[in-house]
Amino acid sequence: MRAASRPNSRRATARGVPFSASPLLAVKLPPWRSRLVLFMMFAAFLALAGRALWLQGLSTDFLQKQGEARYARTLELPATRGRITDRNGEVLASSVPVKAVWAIPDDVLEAPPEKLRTLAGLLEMPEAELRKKLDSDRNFVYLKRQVEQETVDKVLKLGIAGIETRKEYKRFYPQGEVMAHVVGFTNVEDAGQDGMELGMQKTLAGVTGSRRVIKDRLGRIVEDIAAVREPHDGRDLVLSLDSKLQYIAFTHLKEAVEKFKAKAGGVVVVDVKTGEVLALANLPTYNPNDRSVLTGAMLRNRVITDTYEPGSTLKPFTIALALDTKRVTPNTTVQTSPGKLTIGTATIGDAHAHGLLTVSQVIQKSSNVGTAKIALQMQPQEMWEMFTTVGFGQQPKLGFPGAVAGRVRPYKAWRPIEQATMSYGHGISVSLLQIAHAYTIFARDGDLIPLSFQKLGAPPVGQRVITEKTARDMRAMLEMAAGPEGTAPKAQVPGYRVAGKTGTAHKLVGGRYANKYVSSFVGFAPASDPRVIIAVMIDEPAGSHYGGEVAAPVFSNIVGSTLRAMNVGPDSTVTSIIVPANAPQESM
Amino acid sequence: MSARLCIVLTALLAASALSLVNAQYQARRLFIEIERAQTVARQLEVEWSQLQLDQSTLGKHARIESNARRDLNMVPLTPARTQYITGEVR
Repeated sequence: MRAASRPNSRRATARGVPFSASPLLAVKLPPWRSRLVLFMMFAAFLALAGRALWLQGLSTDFLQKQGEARYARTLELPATRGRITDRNGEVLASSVPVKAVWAIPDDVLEAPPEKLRTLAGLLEMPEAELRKKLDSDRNFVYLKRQVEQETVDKVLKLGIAGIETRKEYKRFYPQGEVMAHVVGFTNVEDAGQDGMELGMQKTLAGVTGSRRVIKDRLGRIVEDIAAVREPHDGRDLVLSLDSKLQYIAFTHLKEAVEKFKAKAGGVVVVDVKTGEVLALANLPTYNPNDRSVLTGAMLRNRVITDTYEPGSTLKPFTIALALDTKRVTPNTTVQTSPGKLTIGTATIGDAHAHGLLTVSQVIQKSSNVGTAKIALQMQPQEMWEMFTTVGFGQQPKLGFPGAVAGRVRPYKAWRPIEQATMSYGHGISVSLLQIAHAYTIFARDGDLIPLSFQKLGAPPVGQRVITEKTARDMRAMLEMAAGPEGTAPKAQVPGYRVAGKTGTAHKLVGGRYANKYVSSFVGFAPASDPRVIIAVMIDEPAGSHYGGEVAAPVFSNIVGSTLRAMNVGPDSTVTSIIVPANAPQESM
Repeated sequence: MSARLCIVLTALLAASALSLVNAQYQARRLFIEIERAQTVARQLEVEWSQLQLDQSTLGKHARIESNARRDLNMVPLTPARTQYITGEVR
């Protein structure tokens, strides 16, 4: 307006015509045109406002998610499986991070053939096998799992497109075959498959955590955007085993199994004071680090999952019951002549006729007739209760998978002949671990304590089964049985007094007794103050089959080495032992 | 008077804004550092368990025994050659 009032203004008169005098202004336009412009502008603003509302209000969740997806990441926080160690902290099983190598087949197949050949070599598989794996429609193919980091580095160095890795764990068992049966093993998914790995799966396995983070341009984590779910590593498991004692037990068992060309063997060493299992070995065994050749026989933990007829090792329980109920004393005499006893239509017998024996001698010479005669004075129910109380026919509560209960038939169905044979361990089945457990009543002063595969802080409370006096009498008898006049003089150990009982049982094959045997020996040492119970079983030994010949020497070797390793002082004079040439053979 | 106050407040505001930027930067830097330290800790832990494993592998009784027998010509002790000492510990 002011420009118009000053005609000499340069701006307004650029072309010599003042703005106000511009002829364009004089053009009379229809008023709807300006309205239209105004309306269109308003409509455009409205559209913008609507769009803003749409973005900010209605689709904000979707957009935020999209944005987040471009910088926020959810990381998996892996948890390690707990270690398994022996009682002294020596590692028996430990997980080590490794990589799984996987591939996108289509991409990998584009790589030059020589590179694929090198890859096959690195993954230790024939090239044909690698190609077979890659010949797949899927987008994800595992080439090899549980590959160690060094190999993975070499594989990635090849620079083949489409080869990726994923973090996983591999379990290592440094003690290998010696510990295989107790520790067990895991599968590629790090889940327990056998032994304590399976039994304690819940506490050993860790819980994977996760966290949501913002990553910057360089892939570095700059901020947590949600509460971190912490990973929980699996708890370490401390077993009751002592790897030194385990090795001792294993080597002596192996020696015996090889010497007698036996089919199998088992041994268990139990701490008398705490009930902890110090060693448990089985043969045949396997290497848990290389399970490419596994047979059922190798996997069997015979000590826990196999039952057998215990034979004479059961006699002490019958005698203990008779002593405890005051039916006999250790000096009561029993007539075992003529070495045979007919009950109903069946006849049982001794290997040798012994004549008049005291109760102590019945155990010492392992007389079937003597034991049966004493047993027949008792009620079936009493004997059944005794067997059941010490754990026969009962599933052991060990947290160990596959532990068997064995079989003790209900007493109501017992006929006298069965009662007689059961008194010396036939017609009844137990596992070696059960027998070792039951012997705690003799090794301790008459009370039974539970066994444990885990290291205990304090010894458990026992449950009294027989009186202290009975237990002491039984110890004396069992010491005689393992002495020069007993059935197992070969169980003697220089320097330590030992006590124990042999067992020899026919094996049942297809419901009939075959000419195959299980030789066993259960005993404890030192007899003056028992520290360990050791039970040995040799399955189908060739040549000799008597427990005193086959299993007792194994017991003797293990006791000697074990007690020395445990720093137990000798309780007898250290002299070389003379084994009589004509040791009485036990009856079956 | 009010103009001067305005300037002071503006300066304060600017300073505060800059310090916020700095604080955020420091927070991220420290966060990255702690992340790195945690990664190192994890690696060391893995290494430690690997070393424990090695210790157990190398200290395996079977290996010690074979080494002792073969390389050192040692034999298992027998009670006959053992002198047992009993007595009170003073």
